[in-house]
Amino acid sequence: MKSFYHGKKKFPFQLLLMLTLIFFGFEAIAQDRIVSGTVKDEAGAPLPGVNIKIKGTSTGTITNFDGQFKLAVDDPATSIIFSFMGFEPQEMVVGQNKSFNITLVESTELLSEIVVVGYGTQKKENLTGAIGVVTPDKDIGNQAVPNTESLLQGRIAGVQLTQSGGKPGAGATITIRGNGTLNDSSPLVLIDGVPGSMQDILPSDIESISVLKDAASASIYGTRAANGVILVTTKSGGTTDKVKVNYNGYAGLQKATVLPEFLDSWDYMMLKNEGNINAGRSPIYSDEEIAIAREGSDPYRYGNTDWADETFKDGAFFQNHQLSLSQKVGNTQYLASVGYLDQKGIMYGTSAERINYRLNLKSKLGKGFTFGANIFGAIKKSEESADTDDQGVMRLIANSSPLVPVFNQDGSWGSASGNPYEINTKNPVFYATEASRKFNDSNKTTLNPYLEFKPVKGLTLRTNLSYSFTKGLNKAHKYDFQLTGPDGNDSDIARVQNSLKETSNTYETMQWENTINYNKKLGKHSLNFLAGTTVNSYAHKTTNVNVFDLPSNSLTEIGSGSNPTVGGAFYESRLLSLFGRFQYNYDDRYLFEANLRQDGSSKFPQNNRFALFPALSVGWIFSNEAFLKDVEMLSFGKVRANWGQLGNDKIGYYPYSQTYSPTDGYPFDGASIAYGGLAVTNLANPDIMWETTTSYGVGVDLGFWEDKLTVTADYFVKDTDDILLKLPIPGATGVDTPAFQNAGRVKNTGWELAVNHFNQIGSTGIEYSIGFNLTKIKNEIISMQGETQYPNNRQVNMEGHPIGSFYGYKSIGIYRTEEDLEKYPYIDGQTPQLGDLIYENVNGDDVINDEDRTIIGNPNPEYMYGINMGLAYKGFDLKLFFQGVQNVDIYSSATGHHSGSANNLMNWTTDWLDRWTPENPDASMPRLGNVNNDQISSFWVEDASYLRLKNVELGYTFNESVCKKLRLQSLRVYANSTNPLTWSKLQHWDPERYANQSRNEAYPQTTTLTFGTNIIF
Amino acid sequence: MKKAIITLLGAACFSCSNYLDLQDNNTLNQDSFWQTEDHLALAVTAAYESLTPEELYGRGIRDLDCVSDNGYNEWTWMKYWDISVGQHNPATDRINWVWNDNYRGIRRANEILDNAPTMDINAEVKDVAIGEALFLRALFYNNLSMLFNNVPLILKVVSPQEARIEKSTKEEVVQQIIEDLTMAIDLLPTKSEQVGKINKYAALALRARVYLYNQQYENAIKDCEEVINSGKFGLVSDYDFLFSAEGQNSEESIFSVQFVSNLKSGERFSGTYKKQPQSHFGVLPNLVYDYYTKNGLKPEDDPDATPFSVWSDENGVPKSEKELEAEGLSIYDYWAEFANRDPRLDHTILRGGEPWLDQAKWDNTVKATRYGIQKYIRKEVGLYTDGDRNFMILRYADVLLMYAEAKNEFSGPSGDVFNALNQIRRRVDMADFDSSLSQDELREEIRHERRVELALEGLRYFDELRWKTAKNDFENNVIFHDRTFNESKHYWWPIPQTEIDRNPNLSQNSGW
Repeated sequence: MKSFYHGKKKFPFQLLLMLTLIFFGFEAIAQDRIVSGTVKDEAGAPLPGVNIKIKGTSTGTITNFDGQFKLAVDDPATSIIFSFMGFEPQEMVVGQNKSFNITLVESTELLSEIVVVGYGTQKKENLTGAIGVVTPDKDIGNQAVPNTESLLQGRIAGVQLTQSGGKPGAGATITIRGNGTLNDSSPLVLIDGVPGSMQDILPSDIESISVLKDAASASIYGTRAANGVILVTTKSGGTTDKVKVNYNGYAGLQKATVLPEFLDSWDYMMLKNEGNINAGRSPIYSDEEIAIAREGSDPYRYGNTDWADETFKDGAFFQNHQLSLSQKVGNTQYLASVGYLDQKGIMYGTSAERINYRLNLKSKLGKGFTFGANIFGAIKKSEESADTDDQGVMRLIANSSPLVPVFNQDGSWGSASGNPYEINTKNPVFYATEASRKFNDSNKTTLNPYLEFKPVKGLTLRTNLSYSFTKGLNKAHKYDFQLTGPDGNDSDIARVQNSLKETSNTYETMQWENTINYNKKLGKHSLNFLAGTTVNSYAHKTTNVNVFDLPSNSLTEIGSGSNPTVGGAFYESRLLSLFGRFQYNYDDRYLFEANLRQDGSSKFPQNNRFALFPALSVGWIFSNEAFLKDVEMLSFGKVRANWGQLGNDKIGYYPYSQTYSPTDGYPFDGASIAYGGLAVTNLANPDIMWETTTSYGVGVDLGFWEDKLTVTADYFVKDTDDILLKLPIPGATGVDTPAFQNAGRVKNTGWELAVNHFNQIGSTGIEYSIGFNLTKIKNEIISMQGETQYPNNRQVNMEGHPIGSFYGYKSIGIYRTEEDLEKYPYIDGQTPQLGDLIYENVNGDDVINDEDRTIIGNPNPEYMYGINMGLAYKGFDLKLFFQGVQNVDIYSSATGHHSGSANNLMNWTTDWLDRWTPENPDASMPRLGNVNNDQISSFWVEDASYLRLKNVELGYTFNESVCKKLRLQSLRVYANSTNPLTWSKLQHWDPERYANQSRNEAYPQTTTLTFGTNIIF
Repeated sequence: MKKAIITLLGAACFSCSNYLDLQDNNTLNQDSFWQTEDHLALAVTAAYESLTPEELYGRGIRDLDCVSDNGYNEWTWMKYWDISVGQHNPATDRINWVWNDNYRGIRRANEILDNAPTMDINAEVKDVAIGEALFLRALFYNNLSMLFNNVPLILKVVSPQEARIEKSTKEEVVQQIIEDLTMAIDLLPTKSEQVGKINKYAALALRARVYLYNQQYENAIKDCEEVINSGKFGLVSDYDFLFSAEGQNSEESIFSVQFVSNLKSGERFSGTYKKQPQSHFGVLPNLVYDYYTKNGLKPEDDPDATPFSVWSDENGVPKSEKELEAEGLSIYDYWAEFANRDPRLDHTILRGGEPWLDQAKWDNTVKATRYGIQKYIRKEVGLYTDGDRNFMILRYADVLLMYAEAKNEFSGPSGDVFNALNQIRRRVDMADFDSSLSQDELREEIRHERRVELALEGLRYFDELRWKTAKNDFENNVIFHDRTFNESKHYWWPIPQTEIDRNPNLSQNSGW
């Protein structure tokens, strides 16, 4: 990829550059001193069209066809910058020199016009597949992200990224062009060709990220590519003898974007009583107790605790430092970097730290050989509560009585109020911090040596080896404790037995890839051949030990516990692949590309072990046709079409092998333990196959007014067949768990539009850019062989509907009049009262029952979009980035919303102040006390569309003279905020959440404000 | 050109394609299993384990007494109530659960029957394993044939496709059960090598039960005689002791399902939850009424006794102390009356006022029927869902009762019949049977004796089905709540709807 430019004429761009520079060139006339010289490449060939500019101005020129230039300067202190696409820019102080002989070094940095594709690079104009590109330095700035993948959110059309929440160290899910499987839909991430995770890399080490969205671009990755491929390219080593030190660091504070507003204790007591009375029970709280709570006269027995407020803090600290050194020493270039991220959680008791390191080495060995090695890794540590039963602390916040104090008067943890009914509030602050601790540690290292050989022009052979090793250790301590009430009596909140669970995981990935690439240009015909092989292996070993009754909660090692239970497993998979690509380009007008990959995988049964994935794509750059050459407005125009197939091999490790699994066992001979047996508990499918995605689409790329305005539009279909499904089997088979069958089909259809515009306003020096991307996706399950799956009691996978659709009764309002009670039938055997929810009688019989359930919402957004704006003026720069989704639903009951008919301490959100009572017949919420109002219904489905200012950054770059005084090359300071503003209909919860999070229990998203500086010297 | 390269590289690739052959070393698979005696032992253990699920001998079979006239299930989600009142249908969950759990056991037995014969190991070990598998398969098919009548007869390890067959008739299923047991009797040792293992007499006793259930009295008599004459079994002298922790695997137990605690495989039929015995399980008053007095008479016929109905409302629910006082009655008389009954009543049921755990007088208002279960119930408060009591599938008293019943049906009252029956009576100090009874009278007495001796052991429902007495007993004799028993379909269960949905070759049972 580094050699892509070699000997190629890049006419449209040079033309563009020339036009620009001729335009600027007129300004040079006023200068009084002429310097001249020649610019050559490393091989000594003159470079025409090199951009030469006086630093800090727009004055400049370009070299002629012999690489020569002349430029007028007025001050010896002036620096001249030489830049040319595909080469490292060079800066020279004019001094007393009149003549310069400049040698530009081939750039290892990728300019936006060169796009990294599978096993190579390609000029953006010549792409025929759908590839989205992000270059973080240019596009993103210093967005404070807890995980590197979050940088992609909203940046690329068709790529949906959802953060799991603001928990330190938490990840995100990425869905490319819609969810195409009922199973794991995460894309393949390759870092310089090495399988990995985006968390393995520092944002500042990333040169570019290419997202391969369709089969035309991704089928070369075959059976791992069905969910899309993300190619991360890291920066190369330095290009000059001088060490370049780049420090970028920021620090700031975070808080929750939004926290639920729960009822004050006196309102809670009132509603609790109301619910109980309506449900035919006695009220719990006396009027005196309610009065005490309202007056606040007995805060330890009748307090008013806002658990959400108490469990989260405003201003959790966040810092991130990245330091890199790069240099060229002899024939060797290196880049060394280290990064440190420290994130305290907004929830008490949560935190994460991460260290990333990297060494990229590349050395020219002569005779066409290049040797390189990338060594990188990540060390991660995080801490959280180990109490994840009952869905963890998030659920406790809503399920705790506000009467209970955080601390009793004697300073001990609160867990009960003065009312005898409330002796079991699982104090969320206690559970978040001192009831248990979980420590997650992991350490990952990747070694990636490679050798490249270019025997003759146009031919590149490359062998690329990688090995990565991850060691993870989780320790979960659950302490024993007995909490007390306000009067010092034991409450119901206790853990009689402490425990410690240690889980260790190791992951090893080895990959060896060999490629041969040949470029040839014959007149107007450009040809490119690529062939390669991959050998890949992956191994995962897990062991766990759980011990109990440690003599003290302060002991941290498993040796001190007793009654151990242990577990362990080992999984391995291997891949053996062949792939090839043929590209043909006629006169930069007609483009054709064919890809083929054959994957042999250990996951497939022997008789069906090799999978073949073809892809074809074509393009027509119509703007290069003679008849359009004169249309000045249109600077670029291309249409493209593609078709191809991809596979998903996430089907388990040995799914074809009929194993006998250990069973609970049976005690013979009066034994006090059961001896385990072996039996078939899960059926295997000896004929199992990969899931196959057929994708096709058309696209158009347009540039107007010298590409100041660019438009890219795509229409796509992603049709996944043979999706693994567990189809029900007759009970007479005698096995509970059926085998996976290749039986389902899901189709995603959609379009994408990306528009970008940049310009500067006259001669004011104000530069601006504005762009947006918009995606519409329709997700539909085409076939499940007539079956229906229920991932949980609110969601359904059903033919003809999107994956994970919400399913239940359709609520059509509240019974407000006697006529309503007459008119609408109710749940079988139940009688509604005024204030209850009316459910639609879908099937038209005379009762409401299971058959009236229907699709009531879609957790997959129909539209998603991102808008970015940039503005630069005299050293100041401002970046704004908005991101949003439209037409997406969440289900919002149980947590903070419930009928109050059950015996528990669940609080309500303040919405419930407007519930139905005889005095408030126009209420928005139903009456309390009827458990049937808790039925899964559309009443609890809420529109979670949102638009948010995802990131805003204001920076100032100090001018050269300041830098010089400080002996710096460059100095920039900035302020950055993520998620400062959100527009959404949701009141109490952040609208951004995983599609399968069907309760209001996600760790809240955070908004951060950070200040940072970027220093280069 | 490209094709050539692919072919060439493909050839190179195939040469190393064993690189892609990976072995799952986490557990054994079809190829690596079935090699050693240990392997066979593991398969046998898994087959025995299939007795233990909650829906079978872990609780469900015992709880079939709740759909008979002995018990009342208060927890509607368990779906016993639906069946007991005749509101069940093919979609009733319990029917599906019972079906699946029996077929799971059948598969585990079939695994052994398919694979053991070709194993290259000690022949005797193999024979015993095959004998055990045959016994278990017969036991599960007996459950199925009793509950569903006609079911698919699956006699080897099947794929889901192979399991999609039409049901066989009850006669064919019973024929297969008898064949399996006959072979098992040949293969099994006379004495189990380990406690809890199936031996020849367990197979004989089970075959006797199957013969009796299917009215083949002469064969049943023979099998019972062989068990009785073996001299290996006897009655435990203390009826209460028989169901205690110490009484497990006693000389009376012919085959018991073994349970241990602190594992998922513990049983659920003996637990006390929040200090209540089996919260879901209530005992019907009509069972309480049915116990004879000390004098061996029906309470209403015994001048020394007062029927419990005196202290109860029309549903058989005992009245409270206050209610009784208002009527001029004393709760103390009610309590005293229990001492005037067959002692098995007190051992079997828990009544209000009885000392229970830390309660000096058990508060019976926690039960809808005001009677709790006491047989098998652990008095220590342990893990409710993880009990360690063994469950007797076949015990010697049952064999004596089966013998008496079969012989009376076959040849009428005789000394052998009374001898067998009186052994059971004498253990609990009850009077001997009246030896002047006619065959029909004795039939009624034997049925009564089976009911009180084997109450709450999961046998009553099967007896009602085979005697065809359910309509009268359920509709007319259950006094606590109303039941409906439709003779045109309630003597067998419907095939589960999910099974019909998943097996197009399977037709529904008649009447459903």
